[in-house]
Amino acid sequence: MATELITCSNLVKAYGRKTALAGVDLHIGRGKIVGLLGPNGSGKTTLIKLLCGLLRPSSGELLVDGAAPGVYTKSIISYLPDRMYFADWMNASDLLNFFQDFYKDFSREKAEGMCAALGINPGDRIKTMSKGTKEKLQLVLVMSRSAQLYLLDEPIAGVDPAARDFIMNTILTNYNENGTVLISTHLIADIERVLDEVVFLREGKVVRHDTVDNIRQTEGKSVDAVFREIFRTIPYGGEE
Amino acid sequence: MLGKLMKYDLKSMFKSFTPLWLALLAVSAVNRFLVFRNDARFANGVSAFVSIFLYGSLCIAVVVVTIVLIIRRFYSGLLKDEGYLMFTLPVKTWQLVASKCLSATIITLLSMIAGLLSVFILVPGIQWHQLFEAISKYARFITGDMVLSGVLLLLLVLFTVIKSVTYIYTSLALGHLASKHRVGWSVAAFIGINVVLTTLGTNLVTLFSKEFPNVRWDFFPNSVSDIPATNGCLLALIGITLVQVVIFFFATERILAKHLNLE
Repeated sequence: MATELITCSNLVKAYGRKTALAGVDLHIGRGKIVGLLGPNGSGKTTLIKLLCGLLRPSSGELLVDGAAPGVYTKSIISYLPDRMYFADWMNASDLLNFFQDFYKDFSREKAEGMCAALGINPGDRIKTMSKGTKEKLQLVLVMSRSAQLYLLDEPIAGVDPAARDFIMNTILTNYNENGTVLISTHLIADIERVLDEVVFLREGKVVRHDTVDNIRQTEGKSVDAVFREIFRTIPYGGEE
Repeated sequence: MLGKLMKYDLKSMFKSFTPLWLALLAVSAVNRFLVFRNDARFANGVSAFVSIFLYGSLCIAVVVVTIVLIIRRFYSGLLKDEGYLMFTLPVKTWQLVASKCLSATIITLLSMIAGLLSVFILVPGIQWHQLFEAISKYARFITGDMVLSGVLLLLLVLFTVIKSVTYIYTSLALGHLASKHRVGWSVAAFIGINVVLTTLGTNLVTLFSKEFPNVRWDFFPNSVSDIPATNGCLLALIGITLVQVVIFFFATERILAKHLNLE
């Protein structure tokens, strides 16, 4: 087991002529909740996709628990994408079987308990579920694993405040405390209270990586306020 | 892991195909009683035409639906949103492709069997006992070469199915590299590959005929003594098909492993 969980050295990802990540250097340890913060298009989703092996770096090095993305890293990463990834033909029970078959760290008992609390029956078909129920089920599956690294891509975007609370509570009460949770979002105020560290991304580069305590002490402001300062855009016709 | 992947791929395919196969067999049974109520009417030219037309339509329906569903399972199962689940599973890319390919092959073979069964149901008057009697009567004339021909023919059918499936996958994998109009690009890739293969095939045959003018391509034996030559041709065809399977499979695997481009 490597001491560092995530190591990025001069990590670059380009889509054709467009550069999404322009030389990211990042070192993240274990047992932390880390916020990956940045405006839309700053490279958050690209970094997460590289970590979970959906994309390959254009150049630079990327290691998760000391290994390049592959079968091993996929077995220790629990990934929540920013979309629904279920097959329509399955029911809830099929999905639990699927996760149990492929992930050794999946706790079926935990997942069944959470499903019952949400009123999802094993025979319920995915096709007939509402968008909100599907999102919650996906979160239940991801958080029922005792993973080393949880990659949560915009888990609270586009949901109402009550659902937001449910999502944050589910994450906090279920994650493996020896593992690290990396949450990407631009809704900082809602998750600031739970973060240990933050990584600010702008135009594909890390502009700040610090602990939340340190930011509060040195700046005397909340992370949300610091974010607004860093990413402030002057509207057309406005003044500096 | 391949077994586990196949379990879910087959399960999803059976959900779509079982009703299709049952419908095919049911339609055949209904038509048998509606169209051919007795053998005498079957002898009538019009009825015979109707029977061929019906069988043809049913076959076309099964073939079209099989192809469409095989494309859909690969396209939406790996290259659309479901890809976010499948490509983050702790499995190798080749296992994902192999699982889809083997499941599609099994389904295609089962569709063929269902098609064959439907003919037996649709066409009345097949005297099974006479058929078996005839087979046993001529069994002593069957040589080892003839058995080999049968086995080679079945293998050729099997590998041709696998080749067609992997050919479709390669076209879809190439099409998914585009940022827009992915289906259109997949069709273009399908046609492009066909043009390349046809050109290559024609040139190779011409070259081969020039180099070896004495070799005869005996696909249809005129006598028992021709059968070994036919088997040689079948073996060559199987070899050519296998080479294509290997190329298509690894092309698909490499594209998805190195250049995965989910929306």
